[in-house]
Amino acid sequence: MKVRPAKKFIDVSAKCSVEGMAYGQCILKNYATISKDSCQAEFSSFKSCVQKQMSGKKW
Amino acid sequence: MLRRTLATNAPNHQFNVFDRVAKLAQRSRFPKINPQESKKVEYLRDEVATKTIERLAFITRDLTNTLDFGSNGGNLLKNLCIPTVIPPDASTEMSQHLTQLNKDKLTIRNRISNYTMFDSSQEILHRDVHESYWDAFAGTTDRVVGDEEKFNHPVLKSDYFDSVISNLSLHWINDLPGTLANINRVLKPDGLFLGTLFGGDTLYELRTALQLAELERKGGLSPRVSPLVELNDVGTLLNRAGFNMLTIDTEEIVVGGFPDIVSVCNDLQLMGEQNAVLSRSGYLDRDLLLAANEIYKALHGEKGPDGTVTLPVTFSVIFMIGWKKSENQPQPLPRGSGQVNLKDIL
Repeated sequence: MKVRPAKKFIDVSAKCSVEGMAYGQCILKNYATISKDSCQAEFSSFKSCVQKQMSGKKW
Repeated sequence: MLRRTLATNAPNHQFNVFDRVAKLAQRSRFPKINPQESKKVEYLRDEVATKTIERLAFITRDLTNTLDFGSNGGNLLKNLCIPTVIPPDASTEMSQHLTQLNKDKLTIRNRISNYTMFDSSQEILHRDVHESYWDAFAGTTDRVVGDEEKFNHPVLKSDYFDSVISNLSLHWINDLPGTLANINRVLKPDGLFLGTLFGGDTLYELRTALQLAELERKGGLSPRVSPLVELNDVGTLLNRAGFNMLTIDTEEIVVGGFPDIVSVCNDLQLMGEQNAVLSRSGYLDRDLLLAANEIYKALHGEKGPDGTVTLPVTFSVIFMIGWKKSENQPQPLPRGSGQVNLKDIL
């Protein structure tokens, strides 16, 4: 079966595992009191890393 | 005078949660376009079929006319026909267990003369029809396409079936009490119903990961995983549908080793078990996907010996056994007829 876009995307995101893990840990620390943008900083750096890995493609 | 045509009652009073039309399309898609891939995700249904066989082995009742309601590809009969291979390195206990299981398969198979598979998806029902393993079954097999919820197919005759088995299908039914009552109707008096349903904790990892991701990124929630039946409600449901002498238990099946959330969803899609809640949001954007994947890893990920994190998926399966009411069934004795004072014993 051909590789679907979502799978490609998540595979690329694995290259930013350090930033990704930081975001995951932030959620893990705050999950009882989570609200919108609780982990905004961690997510931004994770997202910009993934965008860089996708040769600058923005969304 | 204006006629209040717009204020009339809708013919259907039922409160619908699931989009049955979408569900049928989802379930039929992969068996049609990619049967090989869709066969690879039969592990869950085959496991539940095996566990059903273990339970059936304790029931010595006549199974002449058996209805497999929501049969999918016929996993139960398939597992009855294919003997389990005993691995050469199995422990004595294990190999004894498997030998017994294979004996049970043969006995149960021989007790069934007419096996009716009923499912709403033509594609799933007929996907494996050319396989050779069915030959092990000596009775007749019928594959009937019909809607599980409407329950209006002529093959579903009242007081006809000796047993009805339904594996992992009822969780997409909107009107569960009504459908269980219908199953009760097609059973002979004292007939057996053995069903499995996904229970409350099913996919809890996926559910929590998506909920947290959506809360943190968007500030709100949308239904990504179906509402599921709780174990405590099943007894009431079965009683209400007219079943007696209930046996209800639950088993957790944890499938591990998924590399990421997309692989989890991919397997669910191949099974035809993706979201079909009516109010679903049809879309998971990239931000959410990224966030949910990392949250899934952080909250539920399992670290392997080589340091890679894999994701487990929990399926909590509720097994229910009930018997249609009949005069000849063992009944509880009338109140006050006890001869022994419990105080003397306890």
